[in-house]
Amino acid sequence: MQTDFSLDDFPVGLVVTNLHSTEVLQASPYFYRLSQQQPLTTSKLGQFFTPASKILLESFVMPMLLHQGHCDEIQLTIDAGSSVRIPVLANARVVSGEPAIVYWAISPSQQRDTLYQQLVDLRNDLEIRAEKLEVLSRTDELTGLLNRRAFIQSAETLIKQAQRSGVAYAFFMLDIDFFKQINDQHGHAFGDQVLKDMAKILTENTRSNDIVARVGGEEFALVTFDQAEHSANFLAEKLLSAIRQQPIQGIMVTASIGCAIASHAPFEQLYKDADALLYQAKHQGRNRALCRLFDGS
Amino acid sequence: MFQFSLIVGALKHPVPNIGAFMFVQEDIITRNNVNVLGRGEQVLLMAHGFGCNQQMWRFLVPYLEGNFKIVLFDYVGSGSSDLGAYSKQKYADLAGYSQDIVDICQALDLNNVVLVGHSVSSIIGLLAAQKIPERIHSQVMVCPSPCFLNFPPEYMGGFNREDLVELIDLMDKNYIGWANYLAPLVTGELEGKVFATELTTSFCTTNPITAKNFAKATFFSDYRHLLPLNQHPVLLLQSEVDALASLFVGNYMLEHTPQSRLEVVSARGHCLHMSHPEQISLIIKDFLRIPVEAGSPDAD
Repeated sequence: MQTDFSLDDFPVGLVVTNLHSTEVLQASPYFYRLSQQQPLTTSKLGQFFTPASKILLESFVMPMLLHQGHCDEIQLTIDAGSSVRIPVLANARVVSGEPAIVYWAISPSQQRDTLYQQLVDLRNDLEIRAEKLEVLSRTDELTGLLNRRAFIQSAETLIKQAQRSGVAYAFFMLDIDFFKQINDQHGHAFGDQVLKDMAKILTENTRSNDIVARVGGEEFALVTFDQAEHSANFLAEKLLSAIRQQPIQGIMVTASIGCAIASHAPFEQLYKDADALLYQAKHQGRNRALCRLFDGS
Repeated sequence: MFQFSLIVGALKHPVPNIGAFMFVQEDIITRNNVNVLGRGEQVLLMAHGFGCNQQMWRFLVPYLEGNFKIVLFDYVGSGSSDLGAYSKQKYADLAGYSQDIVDICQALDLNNVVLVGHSVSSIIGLLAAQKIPERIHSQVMVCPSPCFLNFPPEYMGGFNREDLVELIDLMDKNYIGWANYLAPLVTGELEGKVFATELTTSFCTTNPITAKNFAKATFFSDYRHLLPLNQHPVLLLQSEVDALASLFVGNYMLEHTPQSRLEVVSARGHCLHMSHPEQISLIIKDFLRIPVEAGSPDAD
């Protein structure tokens, strides 16, 4: 019966390196066969790997070895020359001393690599689909603005944050005047175009961190932050005059605005207040804005 | 990967910008897992590099905490930061990370700050110093590089684009937050929860989203144009042999950064502050004109 077995026959690459210099002090024949390289008098561990793997070695593996003395199951790629790349799995352990030594076990992992690739592809595909769905579920199809659901979600979150930070915020409800007549007179396709143009005017006259949404048929909502009362008034007038100034689809269109400003009131309250102000603006003859400061107490 | 931004490009207000507000101090301390230690008038704000967290400073800190007030933190998305505060858009760019430094300096009202940054954090520090120059005293850059890409013949950052694409691929295969990450994707709960459910305790980031986003921001960026705009004294610390930042890169930094001084340490590797902490601490003290006493580290 055979009693002397050679460690060299194990199907795993064994490498011993100096921790700080990364010089290869010893390596098993299997490792050289795997990497298709000849033993050299001096070589650094990095020489056996692709540039991408060198980055992982330097920015993950080395800090981990210095920090915790071991590094488990890292997927790397050996550069076996003439564009042959061999995926490998590496485990490493530091044995302290003068100098500190690292013991590496490096085994081929072609099948594991293929499996990972399939998982990565699957995940990427899922991620793209989920993001598309996410965008679709938040968007008003006609105007490209946020829809009612996304508006409520975003506005609630940001208003809570503004409350904590003591930032004032303003809630605008905007309704196109006599929209039903526009639809009846010119048809629904025309009405849709008016809605699209209105969305464009609103986005062009607001800032990138304001929230603009279409929340109903001809009803739009805006939330802006850091609005002193006068600047909310200013924005409301600016929107109205922008709407008045440019004929939409060749006809004159006007709108009414209700605007509630606060620094404490919750979202639901502001929604109601802005809606009530909008109703008043309609009653006072339309084509106007009514703004009011609510202190929330 | 990040086609989200392309899809929503048509929307004016895809994701409202929460970062528009000033944060209160407690928020920032929790968000960035800020830790303050040491004693001294001069503040050292230490910014970890790509991949790891503030624990990478633990070898260097004992040599400096007797002379300085030391502020450590984790970038949002790394270490024990608040992953709920993570935004893919914000942290797709080094400017997003530099805002973390600005927020910390403002929240703690830090002045006379020496920004100590490892690797990519040197450039992040440079971006932060431009936003709040009055709070910054100087910068210490450990193994910095303004650009990892090669632009032959005038600039050799060390890597070709294919290498870096392969790096992203390798990272994908190494960061196996699959279970945590896939489930919300399948159930469609993409917002917030993906990040919030996972708390990273390991030394190196294995969060598949944040780590890869950081890698992309780090390795595909080119901030060479930023160097001449520097307004503070800069200490450049460089390894003799460093696969990520070659001597060429070190000399490039020196040549293009006003008020800079280069110290080449006869060592190998990209983590000088971990492998040669004492030597690094002496150079930093010399740079900041702190007299060096016999016997160290200070904690002994």
